[in-house]
Amino acid sequence: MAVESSQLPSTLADDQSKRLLIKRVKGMVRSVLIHAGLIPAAFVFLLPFLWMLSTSLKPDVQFYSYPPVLIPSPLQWSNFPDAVTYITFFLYMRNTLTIAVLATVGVLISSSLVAYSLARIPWPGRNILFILTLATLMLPFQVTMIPLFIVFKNFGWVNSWLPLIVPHWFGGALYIFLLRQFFMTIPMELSEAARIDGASELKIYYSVLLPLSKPALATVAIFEFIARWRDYIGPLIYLSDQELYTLSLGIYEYQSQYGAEWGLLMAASVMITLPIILLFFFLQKTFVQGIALTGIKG
Amino acid sequence: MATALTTENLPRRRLSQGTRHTINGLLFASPWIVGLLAFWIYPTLASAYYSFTKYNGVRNPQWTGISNYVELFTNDSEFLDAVYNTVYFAVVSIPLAIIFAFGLALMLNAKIRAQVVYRTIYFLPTLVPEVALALVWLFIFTPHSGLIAAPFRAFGMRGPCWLTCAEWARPTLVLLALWIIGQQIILYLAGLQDVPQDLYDAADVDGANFLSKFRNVTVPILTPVIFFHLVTSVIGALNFFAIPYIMTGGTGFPANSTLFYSIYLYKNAFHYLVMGYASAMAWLLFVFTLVVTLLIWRSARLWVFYAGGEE
Amino acid sequence: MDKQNQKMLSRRRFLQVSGLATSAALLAACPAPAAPAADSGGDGGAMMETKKLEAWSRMTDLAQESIKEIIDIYNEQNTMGVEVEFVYIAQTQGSQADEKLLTAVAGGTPPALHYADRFTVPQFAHEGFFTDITDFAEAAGVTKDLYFDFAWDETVYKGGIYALSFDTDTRALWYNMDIMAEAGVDPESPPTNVDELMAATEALTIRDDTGAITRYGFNPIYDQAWLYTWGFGFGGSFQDDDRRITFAHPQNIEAMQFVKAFVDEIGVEDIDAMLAACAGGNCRGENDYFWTGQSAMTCSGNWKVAQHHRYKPDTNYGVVPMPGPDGPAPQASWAGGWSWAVPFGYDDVEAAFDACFYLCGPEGQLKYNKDTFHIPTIKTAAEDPFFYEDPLHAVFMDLLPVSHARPPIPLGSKLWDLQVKAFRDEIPHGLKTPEQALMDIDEEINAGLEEIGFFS
Repeated sequence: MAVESSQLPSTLADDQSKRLLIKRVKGMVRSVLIHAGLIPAAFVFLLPFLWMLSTSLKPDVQFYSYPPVLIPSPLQWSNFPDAVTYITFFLYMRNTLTIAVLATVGVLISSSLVAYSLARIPWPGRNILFILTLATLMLPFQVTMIPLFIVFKNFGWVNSWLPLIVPHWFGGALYIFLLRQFFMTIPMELSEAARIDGASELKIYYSVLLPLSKPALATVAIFEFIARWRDYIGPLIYLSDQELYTLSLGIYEYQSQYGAEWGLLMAASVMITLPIILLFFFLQKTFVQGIALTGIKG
Repeated sequence: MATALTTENLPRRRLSQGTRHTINGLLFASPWIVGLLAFWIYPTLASAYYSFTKYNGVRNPQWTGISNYVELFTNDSEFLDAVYNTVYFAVVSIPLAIIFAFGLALMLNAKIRAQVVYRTIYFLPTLVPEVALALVWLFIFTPHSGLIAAPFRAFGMRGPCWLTCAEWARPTLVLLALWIIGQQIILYLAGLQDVPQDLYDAADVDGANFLSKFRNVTVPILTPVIFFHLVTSVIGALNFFAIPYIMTGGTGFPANSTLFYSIYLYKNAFHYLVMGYASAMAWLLFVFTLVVTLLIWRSARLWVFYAGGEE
Repeated sequence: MDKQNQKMLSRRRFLQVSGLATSAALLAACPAPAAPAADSGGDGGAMMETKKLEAWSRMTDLAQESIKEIIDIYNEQNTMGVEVEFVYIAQTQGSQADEKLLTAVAGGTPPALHYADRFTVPQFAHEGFFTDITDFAEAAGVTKDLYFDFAWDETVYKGGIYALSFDTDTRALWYNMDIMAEAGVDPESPPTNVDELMAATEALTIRDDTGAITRYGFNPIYDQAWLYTWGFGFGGSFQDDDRRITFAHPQNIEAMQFVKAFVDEIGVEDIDAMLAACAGGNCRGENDYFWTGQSAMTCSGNWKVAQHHRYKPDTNYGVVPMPGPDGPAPQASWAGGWSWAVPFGYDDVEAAFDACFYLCGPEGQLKYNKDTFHIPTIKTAAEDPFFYEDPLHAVFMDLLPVSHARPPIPLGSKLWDLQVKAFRDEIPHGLKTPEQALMDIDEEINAGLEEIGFFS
């Protein structure tokens, strides 16, 4: 770096382009440094998935052999087709997907409406409602599980997906909180201007707030989708019909009292993880879009 | 409120602006209010009631006054161990999680190659099913034969005892918790998208360096997200459950050093069938969490900056 | 044909449920508190159409298939006009809790039958989660002498019958003959007493240059080597005639002193390393240190016979009764196993019991235990030559008459946790002396039993 910059003045006379070049060199150094920080960390974060993938391809599953084997030979691809026939994998996946999609759509609509109320409409009592919202996150589910079950039983919803989907259409405390935080960072002048123009609150919510909050909405969508995708205790408690089961329950079918189909379990785990990775890839675009839009000031 | 008053110049129709705001506020919040009434009120009140009773989940609860609470503080050493471990975990892991998540998000936000790949990789551990995650962690942290023991072996040493001894077990769990901060990273990334470029440009014109831009632009804009992360991680840390449970089977070994509050609560509720006692634990936790959260919320006025303004 | 049928059903079910969910969700979006009530009628009605008995079980794989087949036979021949349906219930990783059953019973929606770990039956009976089926059992001619004592005792609480036992298992010393031959230990004369066990352990252990064990000879606090195993092996007992807990029995203390010395001899760090690697059931099946050859001997059960044929058919293994202080200690074996119970609140107890008795009767037990290589708890069923065909399995069968049950008390879960803690944490790490650790268990459990009026 030092060498490069000392050579620069002799070859470039123009002051402007010299500064540009320094900036570019600086940028390159910066990106090298960032990569140097990110790569080792990336390896650490990649390890669980890599190891899971590696185990799913091992012909003879021995976790604790030393030295550890990362790339098995030969690769046992048959674990994958075996895993999907050992349990009713695709039925479970379809069930999980249906629940996750319906719950995510519901939570996005309801939570953003409620967060709008808490963050953008100055009404008395909104702080109380906000504290109440936080409070719902604080009582451990273990002690509300049984009373809540009784509530759903009285609705006649036990052994259906309704307890796993419908509550999310009434909002999720975590996401209301999250969206409130993001909504509050958007200049209030935008709303005021729209109000003076005669726009209704619904219109402001829909055409001003939501377009400016895409990164936050994408975050909520990812969080909720993953939460529903991985939810174990809900399906366990409410479902008693194997036709309705989800992947989080199905994955335990690879284990038995004394044994376990480790290779199949790992192959199934890989297949369970892939759809969410894809979803995440998709939503990355939304993050990028956010940059272009939020720069606008009212 | 202040913002609302300044623009209250042209009240439309007959309703005053305040009334209209109240109606709109309630309307927008109504799904949630209905949800609270339908799904939250009864379970919450029921568990509060159970905490004053002897109750196993199926028999009629018998009123026992505050005896569950008294028992917890006077005659339950595991409860006190669980409180200590949980507070330790919260105090150590929360600041680390904020620093790591924020730091990694900053690096991931830079315009660099393979940005999407990095982001996905950092997010991966939060996607792997817990059964598989537990296996890989045990595989890494098994003393002597685990992956992490390899460098120690190379030098002819045995390395730390990780989860098998009381001195190391708690820090090891803090370390494991840092592995799954993918969601927090995403959160900060989303927050970073909200930093208007013109603020950086303005700072550039003033000749601000990286550090001062970070301190005077990035951090203030992100304080609402930090506030969110702080509150939710306090709640999360005090309810720390999944990782120690899958790593130790909830035994609390060694020497109760991995017995956390919600693990002990869960065992009381579903192993020992003393739901009343578990409810008392839950309500103590609830009150404690609420107090801490309210303190953070009060302090937020001093350090959280909302571009939209606050009351 | 069966498959197709299932597919159609699932598709219909799928549409039905998702349709309901969507409509409810849409109603919810424009807040309508009445929406939930509207749905409940239709859903509840659909479930009432046929008289079905649900049998909940956590069993998977072979065991699940076998139970389903037994249920199919029962469905064809039963005179109650009912149809039993097997429902697989996922079991929380590393947990003994039955969250789903507890919630269902508390919510008043229990299944007809529940598959229960037998040693938890007294606790569930005491807490009111299971139904007293004594009258039905007596009418059906179920008597104490039909079943092995250890199995019967666990299904009875305060004179009432709360479950029928389904299967059992016994415990002995497994050894890898190939490793012994390679290490110069005579595979034909396995250890008969604890001194020989310690000597063989030493001879079979391999350490690397850091001193860490890479192959374990034997781990005295792993697999089925529990406090109970050593206590019974040393001639101790865990409950007196007044049904008080007696963990601090002199022979138990002696057993634990031996275990502590054994652990110290091997090195507690290495013992811990193995336990940590295997936490939460991670060393089950193929991954078992014994099958991978990372452990030359282990105290384990008869279920390993089936695994032997599956995972390592070409390796030679032997089984002998656990070594005791003065020679073989077959009484070290304690018997566990499972049972079927009728959860509290299920209305048609008669029909549920009828199905339960078929499953746990001679026919059901014989089929199940042959399919899964478990051991029947009905004495006459256990005489079937099938169970003696494999010489290794025959060793376990011979242990049946001397096998014990864990103390059947209503604080079973608490007691299990306390003894695990004493045995795997407090004693080996020297946090408490064996005597102190065992006395603390007695004190806490007996006080608890006193409080709930167990002795009165």
